[in-house]
Parts: sequence; C-alpha cells; structure tokens
Amino acid sequence: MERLSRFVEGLCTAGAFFSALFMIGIVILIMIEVVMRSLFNTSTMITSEFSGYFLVALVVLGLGHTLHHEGHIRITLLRGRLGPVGRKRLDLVVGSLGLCLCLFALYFTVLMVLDTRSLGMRADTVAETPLWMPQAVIPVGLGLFALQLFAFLVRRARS
Amino acid sequence: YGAAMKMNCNAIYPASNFHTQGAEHFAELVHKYTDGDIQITVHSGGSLGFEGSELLKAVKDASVPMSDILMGVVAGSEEIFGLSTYPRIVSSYAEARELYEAALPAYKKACQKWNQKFLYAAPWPPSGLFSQSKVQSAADIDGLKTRTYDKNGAQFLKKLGGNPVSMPWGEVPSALNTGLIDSVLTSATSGKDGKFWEVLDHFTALHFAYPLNMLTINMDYWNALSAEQQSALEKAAAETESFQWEASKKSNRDSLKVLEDNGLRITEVDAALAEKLDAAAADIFEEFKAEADEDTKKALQAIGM
Amino acid sequence: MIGDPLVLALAMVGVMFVLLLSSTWIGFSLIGTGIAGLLMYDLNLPPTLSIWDKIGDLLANSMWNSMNSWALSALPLFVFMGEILYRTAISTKLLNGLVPWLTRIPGRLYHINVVACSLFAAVSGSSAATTATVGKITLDELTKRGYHKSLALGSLAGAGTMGFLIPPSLIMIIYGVLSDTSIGKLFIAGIIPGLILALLYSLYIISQSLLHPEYVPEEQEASYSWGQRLGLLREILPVFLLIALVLGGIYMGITTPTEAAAIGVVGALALALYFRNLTWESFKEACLAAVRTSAMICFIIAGAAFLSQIVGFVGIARALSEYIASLHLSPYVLILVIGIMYLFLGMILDGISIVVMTLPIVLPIVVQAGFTPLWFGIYLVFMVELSQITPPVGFSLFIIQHISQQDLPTILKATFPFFLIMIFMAVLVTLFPELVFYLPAKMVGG
Ligand code: NA
Ligand code: NA
Repeated sequence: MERLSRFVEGLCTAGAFFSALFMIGIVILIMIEVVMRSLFNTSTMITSEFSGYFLVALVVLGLGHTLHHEGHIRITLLRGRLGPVGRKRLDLVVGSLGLCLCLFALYFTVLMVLDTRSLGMRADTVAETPLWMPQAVIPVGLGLFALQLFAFLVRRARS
Repeated sequence: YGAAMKMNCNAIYPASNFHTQGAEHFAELVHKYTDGDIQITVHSGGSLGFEGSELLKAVKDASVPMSDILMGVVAGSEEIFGLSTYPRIVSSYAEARELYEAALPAYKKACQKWNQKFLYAAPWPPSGLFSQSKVQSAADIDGLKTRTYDKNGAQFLKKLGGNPVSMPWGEVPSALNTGLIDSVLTSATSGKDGKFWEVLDHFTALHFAYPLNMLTINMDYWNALSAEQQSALEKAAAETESFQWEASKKSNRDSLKVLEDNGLRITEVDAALAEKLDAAAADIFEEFKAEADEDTKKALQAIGM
Repeated sequence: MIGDPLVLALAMVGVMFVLLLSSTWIGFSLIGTGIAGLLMYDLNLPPTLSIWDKIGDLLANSMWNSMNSWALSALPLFVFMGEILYRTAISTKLLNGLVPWLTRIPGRLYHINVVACSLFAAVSGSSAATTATVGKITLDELTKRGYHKSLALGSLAGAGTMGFLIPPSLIMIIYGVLSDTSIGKLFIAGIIPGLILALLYSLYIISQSLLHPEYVPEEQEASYSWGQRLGLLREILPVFLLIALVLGGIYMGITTPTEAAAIGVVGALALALYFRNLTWESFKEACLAAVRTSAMICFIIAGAAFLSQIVGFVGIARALSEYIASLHLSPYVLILVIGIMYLFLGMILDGISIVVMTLPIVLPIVVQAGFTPLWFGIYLVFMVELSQITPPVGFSLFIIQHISQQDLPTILKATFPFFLIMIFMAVLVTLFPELVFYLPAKMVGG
C-alpha cells in the first residue's frame, strides 16, 4: 500500500511538472506573438488557439497533484465538528463519490477523444489542428486524478 | 411517444442576432403547424455550452437535439460545409443563392452522414473590409493589421500583403482603440453592431464571402416524429429559409445605411482591384480543390466548380 | 420526475447544499448537482438514446469546452506572476518604500494593506493573488509591530478584493468575453470606483484609530525626512515598473488585455533575476504553487460550466428570468433583488463560477431594465468581490486563514465592517452610474 501511494504520488508529481511546462508554454507563445506583431507586423495565428489547448493540459494534469496537496477546496464547516471516526467515514463516502464521478468523466472523455479522432474533426483555425490531440490529455489527467482519489481512499481507510 | 414534444435548440449567437431570430421564427412556425405538439425552445448565446467546431458532433450524438450551426466552423469535421466561406466565389445574393441550391444535395448528404437532418440555411451579409484609410487598390491592403474571423480570410489578406490577426470578437473594440489593429474583415451588420464608425472611416464592400448558417436536427429525434409532424417541420423550414434570406438582405441594406448615416464611407471595388482580389481568391480555392477528399471533389464536380 | 423548472431549481439547490456541506470537493459537488438535475428532469429523449450517455457526453464536452479558452488562459499567468513576486524581494521592497509615507496618517501602518493592495491590484488580475501576495508581507509585519490584528485582517480582506476591480482583472476579461463588452472599457471603468473604495477603507481605518487609540501601537517607526521618503520611494520602483509594463502594454496597443498577463510574468521574472533573489528551488515552487491554484480554480469552473449547461437544458434560466420579468420590478428594485441573489450565491460559489453561471440569465433582464452591460460589469465585479469574503466559500477568507493561522470566526468578525463598506460602494455605483461611465467616455472613440 505504501508503495502504491508513493507510485501514485510520483505519477502526479510528473503530471504537475508537465502542467508547469504548459503554463510556461503559454507565456512563451504569447511573448512570441507580441514580439512578432510589434516588431515584424505579423502574427503566428496560433497563439489564442494553442493557449486554450495548453490551459486544458495544465489543468487536467495538475488535478491529481493538487488533490495530494489538499489544494482542492471543500467546505469543512460540518466536517470539523465530527469526531475522528465520523470524519474518516465521511471522507470515505465523499472520496468514493468523487472517484465515481471522476471515473464516469474519464470513461466519457475517452469516448469523446476516440469519436473525435475517428470522425476526423479539426479546429476551424489556420492550424486546422486535429482536435483529438489536445483532447487526449483530458483522460490522461483524469486518470491521474482517479488514481490519487483512490490513494486518498486507501489512506483514509487505513488511518 | 407522447403527443406534445419539447425540444431544445442551441443557437450560437445572442438573442438579437438574426440567425437566432430565424431559429425563433422556425420554432414559432413549428408550434403553429403542429398545433402545439412540438415545442422548440431556442437557447441563445451558446448558453447550452456548444458554440464551435464540436457542433456537428453535438447534434450527431443528440447532446443537443437541434442547433444553428455556422457551416464554416464545422468544415474541419466535414469539408463541404466550408464551401460558402471561400472568398469571392460569389459576389451577390443571387449568385450566393444559386451556389447554395447547387450545393444543397451535398449539404443534405453530409448531414445525413452525421446522423442529422438538414432543415434550412441562410447566409450572413457579405463581409467586407472596415478600415481607417481608404482601400482603393491592392497596395492599400498592404500592411494593414486586420482582424479576420477564419483561415480563408487570413490566407486571403496575407496573399494581398496584409497582416491578419486573430483575436476574440470581444477584444476587437479595445484593440481598434489602442491601435493594435487598424481594420476588420466582417459584415456590415457586425460593423454596425460594433459601432465601428467611432474609430474607423471606411468600409470597402469586398463581397469577400456570404457564409452560411444552417439549422439541423438529430436523426433519432427526427425519426421519432410522425410523418405529419415531419412534413410540418419541413414546411416551417422552407418558409423560414426564404424569410431568412430576405432578412439577411434587409439586414445588409439597413446596416450599410446606418454606417453611412454615421459618416462611414462605403466604397465598391473597381475592376482593377477586383482582378487582384479574384487572383488571390482563386489561389485559395485551387488549393482547397487540390487537397479535398473524394466526397468533396465529387460534390464540387457536381456543382461544376 | 419534476416538470416545473422552478421546483427543479429548488431541488437542485437542495442537492448542492447537501453535497457542499458534506465536504465534497466543490468541483464534484457542482458536477453531482448537474447530474442529479438531469436525472430528476423529464428530458423527453427519443427511445434510442440513453440518459447516461447524454449526461456523459455533456460532461465530457463541458470539461473540454470550458477550459479550451483563450481568455481563461490568462488566469494561471496572473497566479504565476503573484507567486513569483511573493518569492522575491520585490514585495519586501514595496513595504520598505511605503512605510515612510504612512507614519503621519492616523492609523499609520494599518493603511499599508489598502495602499499595497491598490498597487498590487494594478499588476495582478485576481483578488486571490493580490490578497495572498500582500498578506504574506504585511500581516507578519503588522503583528510584529504591535498592531491590532482585527483591523489588519479586515483591511487585508477588504482591500485584497480590489484585485478584480482595478485593472487588469480576470473577472472583467471573462465578463467582457461573455457579454461582448469591450474589455478595455471595463478596465478603465473600474478605476474610479476602485480608488473611491480604497479611500473609504482608509477613512474607516482613520476613524477607527481615532475612536480607539489603543488599536494603534505607540509611535515606534522612526520619523522620516522628506529626503529619506523620496529616497526610499525607489524601493517601490520595481512595482511601478511592472504596472507600467502591464497597463502600458494594453493602452499603447502592444498587447491585448489577455496577453498582458504574460508580459507581467516576464516582467516579474526579469525583476527577480535583476535583484538576484530567485533561486531554481523557489522558481520551481512558484510554478507548482501556481499549477495547484489554477487546477483548483479551473476544476471548479469546469464543474460550474457543466452545471450551467444543465441549468440551460432544463429551462431554469428561462423560467427564472421569466419569473423575475413577470414581477415587473422597477429598475432599482430589480438591481436590489439581483444583488441579494448574488450575495446568496456568493456564499456558496466562487466569483468566476457566479459570473459564468448567472450571466446568460441575468444580463438580458438587466439590459431590458435599462442598464448598460458596461455598468453591470462593474456592479458584478462588486458582487464577485463580496463573494470572496462571505462564508462558507470565500477564496479570500481561505487565503487569509492560510496566511494568518487565525480561525474563521475571528477573520469574519474582522472583515464585516469592510464587507459593509463594499455594499455601500455597490449602492453608490448604482445611484451614481457616472462613477463608472466618466472615464470610458473619455476614451478615444468611446
Ligand atoms: Na487587478
Ligand atoms: Na463567498
């Protein structure tokens, strides 16, 4: 169990690392656009499109890492009044609900990506990006998130 | 399946837009012709969460039963839908209508492929160039920083020496104010709504394109209707279509008048400029034809293009 | 199965409350509420379609569509900039530069939160980033010097929310995109209300220090000569430089408001490198902290997008707006009713979700009543600011709780007067809309 927890944490840290790269990527994209526009009077025509894709990647890949650092907000008003046993039970219920919803979303985002790919859908932009590519990161991120939720459940169950 | 049926219709533009109003018009006619059996609720402004390239798929999967779709936006899913966005392949409403009718079988077939039924389509008013300085020759386009709305507009202006910029519509007014851009490629109607006369002085009627919007319904929903209901919808669609083509013409006329009344000078394209524009446009269309898939090629041949 | 949209709305609010209060993560609470809403509603699906497929499709679509957004991509950048600034000496320098100017005003260093937040608000796009950055510098300093914690906490909570009101502002960018209002005009329109709000905060601090002299510690700051003051002013220079970079870029036509955040990041990094106090470790930590905050906020946004999609499908928005319209309220009463609704929503939701969820419903009603989208944008920013400091979900409260290690009731009590001042300001803006329109009207082609 300890090993599972460490393994999941490692995966999520790697995810967060990529998130950070995508964040820096947005900065670089925009700077290139600004410089090209003001100095060379031309535009990349992809900055606004790719910034959106990068944001999706940044967010979903960071979900698991954020959960591990208790970064996702929840209202602890009532939870704080429970005893340790009550808190543990509540966390198990809430964590299971989260895991179910996450797996549900994971399943349907996988379908979305496969569909988008087999239908050959492209963006209506100059780059004409095949949309399944930027979408494919969503199931990856949700997968990490689900693993982290599972690890949360295991941790709470054993505490 | 019950007698009274409620359906949501997704509309990408705000309630004040004439395409959204067309969908409302259609909903009213359907209500009338089915004696209230079918109630269509139009949700404006993309408030159902669908607004772009995913629309064809959204209707296919019945995520929304019906939607108003800007055809160019889903050209990445089905090439033929991009046809009406190509520059200067038509230069009047009459020609636009001719092309539309010629392409209609191809549109209907493509919709069927995407599990939906084509109901009707109507064009945006023709897009032209709003600018600070007068555009009389191709040389005047050289160096302009123009906000464009799609890849054809970007390629077209680039070929003419302009500097196309892509940015969300919401940022256009402030970008014009600060000088980030100095011109906009769009319809007279959009220019009127954006009060462009406050910052810009000229509108050159490039007759760049007459982009189409279509209304489609998911095939499962369609098949769930009785034959009577289906013909009622078809009747309403046909009427809405003629109504919308007129509405588009009227919107264009009225908008041009408002622009003029507010001091914007409107220029038609002369023969010399038209030749340059057509040359740039022809390049783009040739590329499209060369790279088109088999279905699209066949469809284009059928139209004689 | 519930047919009436208004009854369904009540049922959904009930589900949301249960989920939120059971300490389910907010994003999941919103998604769960949306699913419950669709299950309770009679969607009239053709027999060939399954309800679960439909829900799944909608959920997948809203995850993709809500985050694949150019305007929203400014959010992580503003957060990132705040994290960099916090980890460098720029923030300490700001404090050093401001102290000499405040020693003669009643309340002395209590004003530091107001002044520092106003300045920081001009580079940062979000209230969270402003509160966090300024609070991390000032709270410790004030306690160390013997200032009363209540006024310190309250003024931080109040002033920190100006991050949204004074440009650049993430909320205004999102509002501008959703309502097709000029973001440039919105930015300009927020300046006068923002400055008046800062002034009111300062007046309140002055009155409190005069009424309760015991709040203010004995004079202990050295008195400064004018020469010293001006000399120390250069300590604030980096912050002014950033402001000039971010706002100057927008108004000189070099960047769009969305792009300004990237300029801010690069500017903050450049300053940090110039002062040689950004280590590789602190840079990494800044990146990860920014990722966590962004993922947290955007997960909530995705949940809110899904929920508002459902709200649209089942017709709650329409029913509610028809209901409010059927009341035939006078414009001022309408704004009051809407304000109360926002106060309520603001308790349980964060600012961005509120804007995204309610705008499609509320904007048409408000415009119908004769208000302009520009004015309503500023009004909405006030409502969002209020939501930052109302429990149980108040981002500023969470942040202050995190920095100060005080318990929530203490923070709430300290914040309450500033909450009232903010409401007063919202009333002022409603009665005197010129406060909003004056500057935008002066813009070229306004
Ligand atoms: Na700000
Ligand atoms: Na709140």
